[in-house]
Amino acid sequence: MLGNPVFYQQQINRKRTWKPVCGVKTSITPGAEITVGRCLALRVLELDVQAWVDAVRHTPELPLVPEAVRCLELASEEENNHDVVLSMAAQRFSDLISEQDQQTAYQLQTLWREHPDHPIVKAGVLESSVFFVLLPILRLLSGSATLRVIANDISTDESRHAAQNRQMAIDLGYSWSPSLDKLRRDTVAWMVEGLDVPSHHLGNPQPWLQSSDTLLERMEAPLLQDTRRPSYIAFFEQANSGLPIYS
Amino acid sequence: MDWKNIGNQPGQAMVGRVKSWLQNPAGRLPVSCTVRAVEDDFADIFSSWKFASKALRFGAGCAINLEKYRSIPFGGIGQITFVLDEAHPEYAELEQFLSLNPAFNKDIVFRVIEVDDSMETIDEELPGIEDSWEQVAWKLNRGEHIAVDLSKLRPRGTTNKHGLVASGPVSFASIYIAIARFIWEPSLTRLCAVYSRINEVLRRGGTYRNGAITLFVDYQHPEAKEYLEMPRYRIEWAKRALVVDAGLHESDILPLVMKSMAEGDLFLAKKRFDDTGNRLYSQVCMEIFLKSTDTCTLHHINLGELEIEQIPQAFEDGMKFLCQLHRHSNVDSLGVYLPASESKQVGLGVLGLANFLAIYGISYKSFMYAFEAFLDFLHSAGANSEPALVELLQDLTETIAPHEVATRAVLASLQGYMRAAKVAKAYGMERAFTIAPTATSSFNYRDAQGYVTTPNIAPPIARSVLRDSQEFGLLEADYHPDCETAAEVGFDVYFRLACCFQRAMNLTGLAHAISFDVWDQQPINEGFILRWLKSPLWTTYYRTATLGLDAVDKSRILCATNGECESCAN
Repeated sequence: MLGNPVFYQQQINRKRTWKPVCGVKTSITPGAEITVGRCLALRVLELDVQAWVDAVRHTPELPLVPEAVRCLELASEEENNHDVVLSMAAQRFSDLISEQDQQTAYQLQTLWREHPDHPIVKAGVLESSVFFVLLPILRLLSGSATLRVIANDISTDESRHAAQNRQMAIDLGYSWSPSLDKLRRDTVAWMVEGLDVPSHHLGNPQPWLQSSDTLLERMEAPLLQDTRRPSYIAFFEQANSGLPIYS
Repeated sequence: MDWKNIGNQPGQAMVGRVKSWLQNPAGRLPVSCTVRAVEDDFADIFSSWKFASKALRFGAGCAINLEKYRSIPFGGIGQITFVLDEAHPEYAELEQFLSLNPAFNKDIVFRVIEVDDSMETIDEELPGIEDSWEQVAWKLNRGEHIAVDLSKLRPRGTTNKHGLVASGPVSFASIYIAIARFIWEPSLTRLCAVYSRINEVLRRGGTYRNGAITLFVDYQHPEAKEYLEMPRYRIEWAKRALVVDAGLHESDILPLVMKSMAEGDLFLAKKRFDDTGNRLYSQVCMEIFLKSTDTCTLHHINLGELEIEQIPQAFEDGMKFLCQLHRHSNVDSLGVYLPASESKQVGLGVLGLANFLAIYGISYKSFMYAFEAFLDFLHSAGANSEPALVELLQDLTETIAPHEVATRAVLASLQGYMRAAKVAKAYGMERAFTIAPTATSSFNYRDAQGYVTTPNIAPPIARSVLRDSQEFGLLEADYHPDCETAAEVGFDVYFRLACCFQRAMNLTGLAHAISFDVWDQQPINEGFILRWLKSPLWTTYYRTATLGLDAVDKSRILCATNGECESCAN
């Protein structure tokens, strides 16, 4: 059997249960509106990740250790949660998502779906190099406590997903193709191309593109050091419906 | 030294509103919070809205205790109609808003509210609007039809000559609607919705945007179940608390209570009385117990900035400052709060304990063990009252070796409490000590080595954090790098340490309580409820996330082939 059971068990142990919550509509940081709208438009990819994970999980005679298979089962359930909460956010902030942007997101979805790389590779690349930059944009740049809580909640799963999907691809002997790399970069480039928040050091497209590149190549993004700080929510300064639920 | 300067000395941590009041005594009062116990009486219910609004407008907290409320149908089912000048920028928005509330027919204009003054007062001056809520409620209750003219309200977002930002007619219409719904179908949950709506609207405008409301209901209230089951969207801007006693553990409502606590939707407060049998009510953040309409004045000792030997003096000085502040607060001036002469309490707390322990290299666990041992020793020695305690603590000072740092720190804290208690009693205080959340003020202070101080006695959730507020955005804080985190300390140690602080405060005879966070490490189950009920703790507060917080880190992927991964390191 392939894979280090200790590593996969650690991922299972890191699981934290949360319930989808979406607070009130808030204002968005000026200059980040288009990018936030596109981040939300790309929610459509969450269920594709779920489908890819399920495809791997149901592979006959999958040569992975049982702990890895359990990780896949959990990931499948969790992706559903991500779709639910991001759809709630997309509805709440619908005015940020132009019809054209939603169409483009669907076109990108088609490209990801049709790409011939192995499903676990596509899941790993999408999680680690697209969602890994999408979530901190919502958290650090959106200006919305509602979206920050959602990004925090999804992050509790996404860090594990990125790690385990990348590791499974390695364990199974798969890697990404240059064309998937290009699709990844095109996706991120489209997402951040309108970002213009001069007051923030991450308020332009370059650090996000660079971070996506380094996350794919070296599994690290030094420019995203700021994301290491967890949030202490001032719960009297936020509407109740947006407060996280961990139980 | 002028008493006002004491608050600026090292080791003293004034709360923000006290600082601003000292600079501008004509500004808002230096009190943080108030409590109103609402009688089961129309007049008292209606006037409580204004009471809450007044507190919120000054960015203070307001606890509303609804234990006595019972849903008795009102006398009438009057109608309300809104009038707005067609030229007003929010006319179309109001029309759309009211169309979502079909009980209100904008085409039928009933007669204008007969009190002419009220029409005049629905204007830029909020006290007039507050009065109109009461008037509207009475008229609806009498079955009258009312038109409320909102034309004089400035559009949302505009600023007046005083720099106040308007919330706009649509926002204020929503308060009248909440009131009307309550009058039409009286219930505890609809009454709660009124307070929530008032806070929601007021925080959109005005100068201060950090007012807070917590509602309190007894666990045996006939509508307690509905109160606990009320969905969040119906009470967006008020927190829920339940007043309980030992019977909670046997109550049918316990499963619902535990679920609400686990989801972060419910605080608990034990029912409390003073020595003469007067009822005391917990305030917004739970840690101060007040008579109805009393206010709380807070001040903190910044432990992170102090040497062990400086702690007793800092406590004494802090209490002198606080008692003088209480005496000069001018709280009587508004005519709504209990005057200082009858308000015989203040709240002296601490912050930066985690910094202090880090600087001295003391672990939370060893501090807690030393604290427990010390308190048990005092108890066994029969030193449970002030003179005996002071004498015994003095004797012990000479017996503790210099290297017993944790024990020295505990002794200094106890001496601090005793010295401060002597001051408080000289001022006639009946309660004087607390452990408040300090979630805002702790960010404004530094420890002796320049790091941000941690809140109250709790370890921080991480050594570097972002304070996340919809009102004020993200605020970075870097705590002492040697601070233990909540995940490292563990909930059991924290629980026992909080019990130690409550016991220490109880020794003075002047204890309020502790805002006691229940971390996510601790499942909310019957065992925990029983443990808490039997403990000296008076409250439970927020459900704080302490685990898995590294997941937000997007600067690295911790897979098995990544050098930083724990599984490889193992």
